[in-house]
Amino acid sequence: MNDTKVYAEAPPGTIADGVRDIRAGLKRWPVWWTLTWQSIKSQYRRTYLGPWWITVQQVIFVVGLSLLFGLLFKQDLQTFVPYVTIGFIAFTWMTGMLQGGANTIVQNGAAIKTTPGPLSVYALRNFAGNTIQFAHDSIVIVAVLIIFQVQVTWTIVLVPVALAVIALNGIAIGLWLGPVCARYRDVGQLVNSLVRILFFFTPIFWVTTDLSNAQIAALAGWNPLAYFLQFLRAPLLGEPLTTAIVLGTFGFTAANCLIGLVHFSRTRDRLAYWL
Amino acid sequence: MTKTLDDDVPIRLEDVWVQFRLRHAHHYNLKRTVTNVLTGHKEDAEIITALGGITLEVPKGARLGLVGPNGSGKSTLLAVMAGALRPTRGTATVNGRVLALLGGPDEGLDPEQTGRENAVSLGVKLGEPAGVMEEHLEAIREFSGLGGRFDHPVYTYSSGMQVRLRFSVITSIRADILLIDEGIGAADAEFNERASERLAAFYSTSGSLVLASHSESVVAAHCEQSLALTAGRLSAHTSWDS
Repeated sequence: MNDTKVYAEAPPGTIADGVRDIRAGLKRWPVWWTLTWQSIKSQYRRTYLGPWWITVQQVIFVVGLSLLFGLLFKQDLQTFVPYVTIGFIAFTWMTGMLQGGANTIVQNGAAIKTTPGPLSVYALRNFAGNTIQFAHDSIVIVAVLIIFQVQVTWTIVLVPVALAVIALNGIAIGLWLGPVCARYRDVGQLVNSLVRILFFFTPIFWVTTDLSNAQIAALAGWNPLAYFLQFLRAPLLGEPLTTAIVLGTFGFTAANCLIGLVHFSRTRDRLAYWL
Repeated sequence: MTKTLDDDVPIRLEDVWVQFRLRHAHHYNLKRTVTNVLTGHKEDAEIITALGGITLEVPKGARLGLVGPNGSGKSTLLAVMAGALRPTRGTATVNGRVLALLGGPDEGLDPEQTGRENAVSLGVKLGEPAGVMEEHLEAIREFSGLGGRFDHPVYTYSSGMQVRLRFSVITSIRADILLIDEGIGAADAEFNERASERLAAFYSTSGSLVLASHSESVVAAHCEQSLALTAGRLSAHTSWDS
């Protein structure tokens, strides 16, 4: 027994350990869902509007953005405002989970070092926090769809699928990017820089049909968020889903989940050593 | 990790090592890193041995004290016993439900929420249903001695009050093993006395207690034996007959 390999920072874990941790984490939903909801409420405790401030902030931004780019690009506001609203609010949700996922392990360092229990809870908590904010924001989407009289078609049935796919990606990103950023702190800084530029490389305020396919591919073809966003927005606006969007969405999702499972399983025992 | 079904030994550590890799600022020096890559020079991180081969057993109903100076490994040993830290070598086997009072005085508390709300959240984090915690609330309020302050947000609490709250919540939950790190030091004498009574009630029902403190007298008051740690190794064993 004494001649076994000595690891500084605990031996890498197995996939079975990771799966067990994720299962235990999911079962503890009161910890990551109920408590996250409470802590969001308590963040706004000393304000009158409470968590509705999130919604107000989005309205202010979306109105400004729609007017600015709508007039600059001479767009028909009737269709442009709903397009920008869905785009921006979904983008906020996705990048919130991306940035939060990068920080979730480092931020919860004190708890990880002192509290036993499944570590997947920290990825789930990041997902829950951003999703609760998105739920507040999505009221703006519903309001805009009504105000701008967007025709709802049968494609609306695809919306829950799109939401589930984005949610799954939000959990998976925290599982692998959180540990990566705990070990290599530079990656967290890189993620912050990327998110700022991603705003311009995701079809939020520019309309994909304005560009030929080659240009779109060059601008956003590498960007998973562009696929996820189109996968959600097209059915809401009654537009068809192209094969490229469906393949891109499921391809990136599969890769993200696989990396999440493998990297989380291998590193979970070592996280406490990196904090 | 091997599992045993030996219920009489809630905690068994065999040759437990915990080693950290400490990366100094120069390990993050870009110029130096590039030079090392080009010249093939290998620069190893410094290895810190927090625990160096600890073997011990905590039997059912035992009251074990851990003493030693700052940095001797007491908190690391408790983190291993709590299951928050996996040893880099050796095995740690824990049977039964562990509750731990570790970390700083405000660990796990949300400063914006009241003591009452935090009591429920803390219990939920420890795996207790919210409904059960709500039933304990009056008892927790009374035991903590926080009175009306129980309904004030925790950011208005002193560290002693935060410790009272956490201690009251943790000991309101049934556990087989209780791990406490310097926990009751920050509270005042009056609370410490009641805390002692509660701990006595806990180990009289064959719960196992491990208490870490740099103060010999705190350990002597609660424990029947103590282990001294020096630089991550067990250096002395004392037992008192009560």
